[in-house]
Amino acid sequence: MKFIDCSACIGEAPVNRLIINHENYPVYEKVKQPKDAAELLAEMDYNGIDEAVVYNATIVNSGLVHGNNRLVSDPVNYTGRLHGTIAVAPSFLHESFLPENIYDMICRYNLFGVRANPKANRYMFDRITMGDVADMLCEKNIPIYISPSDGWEYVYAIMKEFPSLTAIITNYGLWGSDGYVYPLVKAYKNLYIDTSDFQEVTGIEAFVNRFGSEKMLFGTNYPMDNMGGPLATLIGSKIPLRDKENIAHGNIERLFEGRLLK
Amino acid sequence: MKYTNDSALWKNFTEAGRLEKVSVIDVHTHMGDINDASTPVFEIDECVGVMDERNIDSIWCAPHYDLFDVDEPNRYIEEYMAKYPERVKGYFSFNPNYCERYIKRIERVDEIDNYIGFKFLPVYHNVSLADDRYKYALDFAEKRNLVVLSHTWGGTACSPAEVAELLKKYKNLQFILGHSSPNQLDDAIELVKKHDNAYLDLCDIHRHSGIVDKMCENVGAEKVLFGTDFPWYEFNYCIGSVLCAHISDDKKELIFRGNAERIFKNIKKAKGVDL
Repeated sequence: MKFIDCSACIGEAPVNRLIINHENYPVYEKVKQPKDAAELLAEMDYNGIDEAVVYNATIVNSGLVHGNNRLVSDPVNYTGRLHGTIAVAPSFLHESFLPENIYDMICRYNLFGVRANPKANRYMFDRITMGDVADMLCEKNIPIYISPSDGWEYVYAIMKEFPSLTAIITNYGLWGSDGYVYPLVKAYKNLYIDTSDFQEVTGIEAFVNRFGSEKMLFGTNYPMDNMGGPLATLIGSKIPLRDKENIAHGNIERLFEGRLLK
Repeated sequence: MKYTNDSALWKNFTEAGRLEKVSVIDVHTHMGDINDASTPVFEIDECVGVMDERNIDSIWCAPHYDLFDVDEPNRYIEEYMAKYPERVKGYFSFNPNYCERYIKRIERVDEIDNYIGFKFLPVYHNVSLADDRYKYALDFAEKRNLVVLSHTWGGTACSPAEVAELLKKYKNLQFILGHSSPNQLDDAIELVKKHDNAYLDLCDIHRHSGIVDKMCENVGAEKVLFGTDFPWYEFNYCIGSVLCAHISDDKKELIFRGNAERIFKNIKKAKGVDL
């Protein structure tokens, strides 16, 4: 089966890696990290993962502009088997965050989408602050990754204000979060969940039985998570093969094709 | 793509959709629902059904209701062991806030063959692992070479520092560092290297990149135990973490089964129970 990892990270943390157990509950641990694309690709080879959507660790640990530039500074990070994502922030903070410049960057490097960490980056993802950027993302069907690491209320607020966003919920921790996830999936037709942290026993079966397989994307959240766990969870789930194929690669391929790029 | 993982066990898993070749023993499980996490299945009968599907031989279990409902200590694990004696081995959950109530029933550990030891939850019970109220249970376990599975977590009152003090006094009980002290895994590893009767537990922490490799490299696969917190988490996730670690299949088999089997046999021997 073909696997496309919807979310992995290239680069090293300055100290221990921040890992989410559940919202507002971090663990800081030393993990094996890929310092560059070559090391990530080697681990993908070992695990049988064909392609991955990536970001540079410095958007978490250092600066957004710096991290975005690190990613696109070397084509190996966003061509071939790897597809890039960049961080967004309010457009008044830096010209590179103007919607037209974000869109140009996405088109120029054929990036898959963008990421937002509003609390960590200290802004509100609402119409006042992010309306121009969010409207562009909606109009162009550009996916945005959102983590509830600082609380699910941020995700709910963003989706309430921008319900047509193509949003991928990622890095949410391993505790069972159906009480938060299910209503979002039910309410917003363009919302997807990354499987990397989806560790509930029979969780994939329960989700697919309720919502079908179109709203789930295979992910590893590497290196916060390893690759084997999410792989075995999907491979071992008791769902039909066509549903596994959707989750493993079909759904994200549809999102790739749905973007309106120049 | 060059597929470079040549593990026969991983190949077996990907072809069969489950780990056919090794029937797993999970040393860190619970049972029942819990108020701050969703669990699609949690009743004992449906959980045994999932164990069948995932090829899980047996679980070492401390049900949530025994850990948090102090009304009738360890009623639930005894029910589950009676119903599924081959599949469920029991931890006597010990809540030090109700010490006398638990001690009153502690002889049940001798009376019921499938009790393998004790389960402590220092942070959740808000009692440090260094507190004297654990002494009765620890002495009991020490005399019988039983297992003590304690929740351990870096930077809390059940960190490697508290475990180190405990292990200075207790040389015969088999101490499992539940979760292997996230935030301070390196300190947990140092402890397990020093003490023959201490083990690392994969529960939760297995999910991070490189953790299984690091544990095996530093303490040897013989000191690493398979644990999942089931029914919180999926067996297959932890199975995948082990199968895709950069270690030999022999070591994986020790983690999946061999180590727990060895400990279990020693407990049975110490308790004078026929194998």
